[in-house]
Amino acid sequence: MHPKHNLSSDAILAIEVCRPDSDDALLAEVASILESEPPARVAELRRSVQRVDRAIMAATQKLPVPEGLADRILANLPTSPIGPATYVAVPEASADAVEIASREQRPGRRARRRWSLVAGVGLSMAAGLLVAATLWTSRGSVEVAEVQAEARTLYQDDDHRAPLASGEFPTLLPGLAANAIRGWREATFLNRDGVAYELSGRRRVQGTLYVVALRSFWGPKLNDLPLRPVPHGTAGVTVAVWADDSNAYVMVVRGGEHDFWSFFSRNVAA
Amino acid sequence: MTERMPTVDIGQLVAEHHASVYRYAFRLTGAVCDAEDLTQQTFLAAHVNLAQLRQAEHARGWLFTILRHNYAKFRSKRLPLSASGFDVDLDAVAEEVPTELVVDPERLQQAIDELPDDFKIVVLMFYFEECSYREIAERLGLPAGTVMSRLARAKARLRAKLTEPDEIPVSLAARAE
Repeated sequence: MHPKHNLSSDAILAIEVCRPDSDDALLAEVASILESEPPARVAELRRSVQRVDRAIMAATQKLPVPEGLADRILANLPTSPIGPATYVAVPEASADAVEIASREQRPGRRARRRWSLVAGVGLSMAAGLLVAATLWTSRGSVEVAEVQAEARTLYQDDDHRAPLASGEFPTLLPGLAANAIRGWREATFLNRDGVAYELSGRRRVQGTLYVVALRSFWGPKLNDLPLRPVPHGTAGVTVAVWADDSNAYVMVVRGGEHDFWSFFSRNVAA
Repeated sequence: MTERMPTVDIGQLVAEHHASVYRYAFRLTGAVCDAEDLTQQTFLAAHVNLAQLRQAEHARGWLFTILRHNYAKFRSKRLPLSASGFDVDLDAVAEEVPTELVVDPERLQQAIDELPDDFKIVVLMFYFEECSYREIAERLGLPAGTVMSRLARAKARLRAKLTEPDEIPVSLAARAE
């Protein structure tokens, strides 16, 4: 019993998780706790908690947005395969967006044509630089086969049986179902720091997802969604790899490719 | 097989939601440049996967989900803030609920920044996305009890930080004596 509010700890927890001006108190978990508490005391604490919640809710939404952000976002989007972006500069008040958009459409188109020209020249230069950078840095890069080999070695060394850390973490591979993650721990992969997520699927399929700080790894790009893994199975495990600008994502599933696809199709959204 | 055509235009999506996506990104990262990067990445992923968005009225939640995924990726590049040192006694959760609260924006962000990610995501889904604890549990794939406990603790920590008395600079305190 809480000495100040004369309510049980469970009741206080239940009051805390209700949103202001909502029916959350009717949700089963909350309702079953609060029904045995004195209504007046519940109402009193609920009023003060929700008064504070309203203030914090309003404050989290109150934040200036950098000028020209929407323009920068659109300028950085690739040309759409489904038609050009039709956005024109719109002020913060989104209710007026449609009207203002139609008024400013012509100047917006001219600006986009100018931008296309500049972007074309810029892209050509960037492509040249990228080729040069590729040739320069490829000596130090990590090969897919090296990553696969390390993943197999770690798995066969029973690395996946290491104790897990406490606390749960959000899904790190786009589309990976949170309930496929059994836990996580810190890991060392190719002498780099990383995090290992232990995975488990139906029919006792098990595996590990390594997320490793590995800038020099040029595997299949993670942002090429939907993820199309190219699993490589040998020595009792199947490995698929992806990379983004900073990390390698290595999924190891115990068993052959059939087991890998079985896990992947059930737990990773296409 | 015919490709599903999106019913929402990316330009419209950016116009209507860039501000809220940016604000959410800022609350998660606590830095303007990181928030801009996350916002950009979110709309990039939205652009690529636009066909998945079937109804325009779900756009906000869909973008926030992409944002949370991108934030998880962003955090994976840094060492995660461990939740092991974060402990709030549940009995102390409602100890000090102020009758009125004027929220200092800087202090609010500082308090959010100090939360471990597990708690930060839950409390921002509550305050920013205005999700119920049950919706949070469903979206994160967590038991409702886990979410309730994290939410109550995180809220208590935020309140405590927001109502902390101002620190008096040492020199002023010494002069007062």
